[in-house]
This record gives sequence, structure tokens and C-alpha cells, in this order.
Amino acid sequence: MPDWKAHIRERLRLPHLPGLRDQRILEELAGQLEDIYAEHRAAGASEAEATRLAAAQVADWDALSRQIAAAERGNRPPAASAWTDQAAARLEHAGAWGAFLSDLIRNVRHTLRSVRLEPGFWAVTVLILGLGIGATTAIFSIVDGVLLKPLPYAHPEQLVYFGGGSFPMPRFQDFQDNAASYSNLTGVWERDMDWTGGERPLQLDGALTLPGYLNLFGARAALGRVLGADDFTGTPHRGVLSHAAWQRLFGGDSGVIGRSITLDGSPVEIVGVLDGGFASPAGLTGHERDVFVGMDPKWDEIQNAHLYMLQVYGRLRDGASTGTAQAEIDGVVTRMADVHPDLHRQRDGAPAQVTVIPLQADIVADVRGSLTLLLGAVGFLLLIACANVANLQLARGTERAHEFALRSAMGAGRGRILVQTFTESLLFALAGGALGTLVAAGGVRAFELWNPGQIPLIERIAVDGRALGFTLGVTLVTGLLFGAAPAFQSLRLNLNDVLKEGWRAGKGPDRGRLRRILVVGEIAMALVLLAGAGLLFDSFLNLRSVRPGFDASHLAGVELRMEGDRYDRQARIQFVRQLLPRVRAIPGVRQTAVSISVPFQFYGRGRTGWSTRRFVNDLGAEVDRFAMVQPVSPGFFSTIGADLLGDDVSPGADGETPIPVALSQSLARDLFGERNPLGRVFRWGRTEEDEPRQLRVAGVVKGLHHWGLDQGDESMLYVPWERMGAEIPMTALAVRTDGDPAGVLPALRAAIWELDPDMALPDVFTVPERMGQSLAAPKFYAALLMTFAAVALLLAAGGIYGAMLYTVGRRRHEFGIRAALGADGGTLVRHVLWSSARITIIGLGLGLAGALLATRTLRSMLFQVSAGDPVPLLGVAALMGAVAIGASVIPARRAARANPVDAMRAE
Amino acid sequence: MFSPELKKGSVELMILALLEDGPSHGYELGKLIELRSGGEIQFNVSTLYPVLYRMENDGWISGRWVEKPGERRRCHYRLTRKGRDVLARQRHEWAAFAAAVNLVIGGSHA
Repeated sequence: MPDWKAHIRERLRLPHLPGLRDQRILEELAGQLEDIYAEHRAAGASEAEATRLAAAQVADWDALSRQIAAAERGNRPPAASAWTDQAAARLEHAGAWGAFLSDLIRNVRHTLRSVRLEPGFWAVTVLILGLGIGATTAIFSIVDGVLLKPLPYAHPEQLVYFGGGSFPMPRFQDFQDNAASYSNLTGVWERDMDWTGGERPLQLDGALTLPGYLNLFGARAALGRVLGADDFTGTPHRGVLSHAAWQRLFGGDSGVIGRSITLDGSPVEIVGVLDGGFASPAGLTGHERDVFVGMDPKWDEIQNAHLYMLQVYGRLRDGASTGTAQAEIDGVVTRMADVHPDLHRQRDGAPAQVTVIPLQADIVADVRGSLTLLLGAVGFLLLIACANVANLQLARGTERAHEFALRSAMGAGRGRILVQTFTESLLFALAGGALGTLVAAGGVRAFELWNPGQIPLIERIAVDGRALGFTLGVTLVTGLLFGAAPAFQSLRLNLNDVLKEGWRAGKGPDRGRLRRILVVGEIAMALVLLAGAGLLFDSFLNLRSVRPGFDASHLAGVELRMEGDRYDRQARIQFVRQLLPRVRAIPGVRQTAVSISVPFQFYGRGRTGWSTRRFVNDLGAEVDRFAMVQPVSPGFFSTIGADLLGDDVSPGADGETPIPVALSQSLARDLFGERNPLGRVFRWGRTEEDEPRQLRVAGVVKGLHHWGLDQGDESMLYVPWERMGAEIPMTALAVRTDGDPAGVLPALRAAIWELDPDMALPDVFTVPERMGQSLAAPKFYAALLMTFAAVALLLAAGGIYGAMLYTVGRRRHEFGIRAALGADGGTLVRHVLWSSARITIIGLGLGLAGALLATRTLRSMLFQVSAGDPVPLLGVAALMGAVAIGASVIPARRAARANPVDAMRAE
Repeated sequence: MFSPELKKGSVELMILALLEDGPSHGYELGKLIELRSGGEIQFNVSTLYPVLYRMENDGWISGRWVEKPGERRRCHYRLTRKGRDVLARQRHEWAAFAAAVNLVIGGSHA
């Protein structure tokens, strides 16, 4: 067959047309002549005759050239493109940069035109990139808001927090007197305060602050004044309200200044309202205090070496660092341990260490790991998206190859061709980035709505300038990444081959190898994500399947605040004795009891309550074991539906000894080993200090998860409440209901207020709700990672599908010959599936190795699953493999349909 | 056979009308015109192509490269919204014109 393109190129005289329009005209005309030639040949014409008839289609080439040129002139391009054309033409002759810019403008316009010609291709590419960039930007916005943005204080890098718990006032005094690294060292006692005197008692989130605390965080008054030096001494106490509390409690009434309110029974004068922009460290974690009351360091009540109440914050002096401050405080503790051993020594005699932590690090400590993990995971997702798009670009294959070859032939240097490839990929990336910004905004919004809780600084998360800058950066890098494959492929083109082979699909340079490498990478990365998601999901399922050891579904709880001057031990006993029968009389209530806390009232790693550690067992051996003491009233175990062996904790007479108690199974094992604990007598308390108490084991509680499903069967000591618990203000009411526990909550409140109208009730809850909250974070991370993994799986499947389709397309000829030589469809299918399997196996191998490394970072988030657990790993590998092979089935079946006649005809 | 002028005047209308049935490529359009006219109207490439080119530039039709297994890729044209409007208008004009011409030359009076 004659070379129609050459034929036309010799004859057609076209003006310079923008972009590659001349190439298109050439291709289409040649195609039509080829069709006509083929038609005549099919009708039996000789080769020469067919050539003559086809060539006769265009009698006057000049006329055709003129007509096309006229049509081109008649085409009035939009002003913008006319302008860009002019600019490009002008720049062309303005030096090297001018030529570069002119090329760039033409490239951009060419790319935009290709959008019109191949909308589907563009849509898929931009969608993949948009999702990848969007997800990455969303997670970055979260990480930025929480981990990276500086805290909203002046010189936030100078602010530090003393780790190691809360400190008694006298110990803080030692720090203040001996540490010189700080321009301001201060503290706060954050505690709930009951506000009485209104219609209903209210519990406020209060803060007793030392001088310097509010200044440390730059507090300014919107109304009145902040606390001054004189406001910390004398009576009445003085305090300032947070802006939100002022709005919520006083409706923004400016008359509040000078008013006295009763907090925990003492009058406090309101001297100011803080600026709305102020946030204390508590506020940064979403728990802003309502009222800040001045606390005199010299108050008698706080001169107690065992009252651990003060959180210590400081501002480092210029020139001091956390390192030098740490060294200094270590020295102070060591030195003062000899002067005030009761303050600075632990029970075992070692100096009690203090850690100087940058404030921001302290605030985000709990979530740093999880968020960094998410960022890593989403980075993988973006890489997979890049590989996928690079693959798509390569798939456009022959067309581009020919275009590049032509451009080379027409004298374009490799640099210019590279620039064109990258211009195009960057334009793709920018479109993806624009879509990604929308995706990110939606993602961040969704994250805020589905806040798993426990994420500090969440209100600072936003798709803002920083996030957009990040998006732009990611977009450009993305464009370079996925543009690199086609670009470097274009450099390796053999011009001669491409031009000679022409346009036919299935010829030209083989991009198969590069594509297969990309697919291997996609499979490997997707497997890493799948492995992580699988482990978290497995861990979540384990967590959900933990039996709590009590009947959680019918349990409600109320924190009873029997504090302050109105309640002493006797008053508490009186109140509880009156309350329990009233609660029992509420319709729908089956049973009720009191204790320090109800299971899941507090969950997580922290322990709120009464802890102890020294015991002497029945054989006289000392047992040093951390345990929580839980005073309970009779019937507590049946109220919560716990599994109790032996007898309940009976109230016992005041003088009865040994006192009948119950133990958790774990504590029983620690005290008595494998011996039957029931009836055994042991001693609790340190001989030298507390009055040691003789206890007798009446019952043993099995597998009760009081502090969360992930917290194990903690050592617990259950003692009679009236006898030993009523001394402590901290009390909770446990209520077992017949139906939904939420239904009885209003009646519970009413019953309590009937007895004590001044009792604030800050915490009235149902246990199922608490349990749900305790699972929110693991559920959130598992779900998010699974979403990422699902998208990754889909992209990888798309990648292998594309690669196989491409391979089959290229080898259609070969398959045709194989078919002609007698290979049946099944053989061809197996052939294709095997080549897909080879790629998949390599990808899975790399992915498994990567997963073993990467999932180590998950360790702290896993529950009863080990990071290297082979079962889930092999499970996800099998899933990935099955999906990859599944994605190859359609290409394989296409290969099976290879037609021997096609192969012969092409010859 | 008809005179070239007559054919040229109507070629746009014919292309638009054919594309109304669905996308088609250049060679196929030529063949369809020949077929539908019972062989009476034939265009060669040098007539048809510049018209397609102009129509695309005017935004009446839009071309898109389509690759099918075993074939070289072809530019398939389809009607744009604007082309649809032009077709409706030209059809109407053509009918009015033909009726007017018939009146003058004394054709059908039915």
C-alpha cells in the first residue's frame, strides 16, 4: 500500500496552524484515502489501479489547501486564544526564554485542546488525581492544625509544661524557689466547682490559678480586668469568666462585673470577662474552663504534701532551652530530695522525676502517632494514584510516541519535548489539585463532624492558605512524578521505528516493562495499606468482641457530688440511705447501688479514683501490687450484672474485723497464687503509716472491665462503701434498668434533686453510650485506613487491568498466530493470567516486606493482634492477589478471542 | 448526476442530517451520502473534507479520535448542540426554498 501521508505531505501546502492541527489534517486525509484504496482493492482492483483511483479523489491540491486555510481563517478563535497565539508568536523570537515561554503557551493550548478530544481520559485522570491529592490535603490540614501550627501564644516555643502528673503546692514552691530557667513559672488547679444560688445548681469547669497563669497565656479582658497582683489575697476571692461562659451563663450581661457568685460554697467576685480569642491549654484541647479564680499560694488548705493538684506551666527565659531547663530541674529535685524527702522522693526512696516538655508536644502527645500514621497512609495512596495516572499516560502510547517522533523530526530538541510532556502532566495535576481542594474541604468537614474525640486543637483544622500551599506543592510533585514515566519514555523513542511503523496500535516502542514496574509498585503499596487497615480492623473486632464482664446494656450512672461543707461522712451515708429506695421505686429501675465509679464512667489509660499498692497476704508475705480500691454498697455486683463467686460485700458492723471484701480475680491471684482465695484473711496498708486493716475475702469478681474493653481485668479491691467509702466525696450511683437506660435519666435527676436541690449533676450517663465513645477512636482510625486501602485496592486493580489490556493489545498479532498454530482459548487465557500472576507475585512479595516494616508503627494502636501476625497479612495478600488476577480476566478473555485471520491479514 | 454547485450548496445540510443519526467518520459520511442518494450524489475527499473541517471550526460538529481493535484510529464526528440548531434552521429553509423554486418552475402543485 502506498504511503498516503507522504503522498499528502508532498502536495498539501498548509499555513502554520496552531497546535498540532496540521498533523490531524494529515492523518485524517491519509486515513480517508487509505479507506478508499482499501475499498477498491476489496472490489478487485489491482494495486496500481486502486492507488490511482484513491489519488484521483483530490484533483487540485492547491485548491484543497486554500479551502482548508480559508476555513481556518473563518474560524474566529476566542479572544483569549487569539491573544495567546499572538503572544506566543511574539515571544518565539525573543531569546531563549521567549522561545521557552512561547512553547509553553502553545503546549498549554495544545493540552487544553486534547481535553476536548479525549474527555473520558481526562476525566478519569483528573478524578484519580483529585481523590489522591484531596485525601492527602485533608489529612495534612488535620496534621497541620493539630501538630504543626504554633500554639496561639506569644513565643509559643518558650512555653513548657511539667510532666510527671500534678504537684502538691509545697513541691511547686521548691521549684519556684530553686529553678532559674523561667521568666514565669506558675500553675493551675483545674477542678469542677459547684455554682449554687441559682434556680438549679450548676457545675462549672473551674480553674484556681496562681499569679502569672493568665499572663503566661496572654489573657486580656474584654470587660472589666484580668486578675491583678492584689486579686490573689484576702476575701472575697476574685475571678474572671471566660467569654463563652459569660455568654452561656449570663447572656452577655455586662452587669456581671462586680457581682458575687457562690462557688463551692464560697463567694467569688467577678472582676472581668476574658477576651473571646483567649484559650488556656485546657481550651486548646476543647475543655475551656468557665471561670478562673485567683489562688493564694499561701492558703492553708493547699499546704499539703499529699494534695496532688497543681499543673505547672512556665515560660523559659531567653537563652534557656528545654534541655537546660531539664538539667536544672533534675539538679533541683536531687538536691531538694534531701531537704524535703516527703516532697521529692517516691515511696521507694528514689527522687521523683519531673520532665520539662514543650507545651505543644504535651498537648498533642496522645494523637501524634495516629495522625502521623494517617499522613503516611494517605501518602501511599497518593503514590498509588500517581503510578496509576502514569500508567494511563503510557497507555496513550502510540499516539504520543508518533507525535514526539514527528516533533523530533521537525527539529524539536529533547528538552522541548520533555517540557511539553511535563507541561501536560502539570496541567493534569493542577486540574487534579483543584478538584483535590474541594475533596479536602469536604474531607475536613467530614472529619469535624465525625470527630472521634480526644483530638486536641481540632478547631484549628482548616483548608487554609497553608493547606492550599501544601496542595500546590503536592500537586506539582505529583505532576512531576506521574509525568516522569511518559517523559523519560519519550526520550527513549527510536524516531525511525515510530515513523516507519505509523499509527497502528500494537506497534511502536514497548511501554510494557515500565507499566509492569508501575503496577508492581501499586500492588506492593496497596498491600501495605491493606495490611495496616486489616490489622486495625482485626484489632477493632477483637476490642468489640471483648466481654465486658458485666451487663452493660441496661446500666445507667450518675456522679453524686457530695462535696463541700454540706457533706461529711455521716451526711453522705444519710443521703445514700434515703436515695437508694427512692431510685428503686422509679418505674423501669430494677436495682441500684453506689460505688466510687460505675464501669466505663472513666475509660482509657488514666485511673480516676482511689489507688493503693501495699498488701500482706495470708502467709505474711508483702505483696506490692497496684490496685484500685472500689468501695461499693451491697448489691453493687448484681446491679451491674457482674460475675461474682462467693458472697457480696456486706456492710458489716462498724467494728467488725476482718472486714469482708471482694477482689478481682487478678488481685486474688497476686495475693494467693493458685490457692482458693475465698475466706482467706489478708492485710491492706503499710504498717508504719496507715492503720493496717484486716480483710477477709468474701467474693471474687471475674473478668470485669471497669476501665475500658482494652484495659484488661484490672486489680480491684471492693470494700464496703458505708464503712470505708463514705469518707471520700467521690461517689457514683449505678442503676440497672429493665429497658433502655436512657429512659430513666430524667427520673433519676428528679429523685436526687428532691433530696438535695443544690446538688450539681454534671455527669448523668448510660453505660452503652460511654462504651460507644470508648470505641470511637479505634473505629475511626480503622474505618479511615480501610477506606484508603479500599481505594488503593481499586486503583491497583485498575492498574493491572490496564497493563494487561495493553499487553494483550500489543500481542494481538502474536496471539493470533498462536491461535492459528492451534492454541485454544483456554491456553491463551492461562497464558495472560500467568503473566499477570507473575507481576502480582512480585508486587505481593515486595508489599509483604513493606507491610512487615510499616505495620510496626501501628503497634501502639493494636489490641490483641501483633503487628507481624502472619494470618491477617497473608489474608490481605490473598485478597490483593485475587483482585489482581480477577482484574486480568477480561484482558485474558480478549486474548482468547484472538483471530488467526487478523494475524494473517496484518502480514 | 447533479451539477457541482447544486451539490455544494446542500452538502452541509446532508452531513448534519446524517450525523443526527449518530457519530460517523469522514469516509463513512461520503459512503452514506452515496448510499442514501441511490448513488446519485457522490463527493470526493477534496470536497467533503474542507466542509467537515469548516463545520468543526464553526462548532457545528465536533471530532473525536476513536481507536478500535484491529483498525487504525479514526476521527468520529458528532453533532453539537449548535449543529442541531443549524440543522433545524437549514431544514426549514431548504423546504421553503424548494417549495418556492417549485412554484416558479411549475413543479408539483399538490
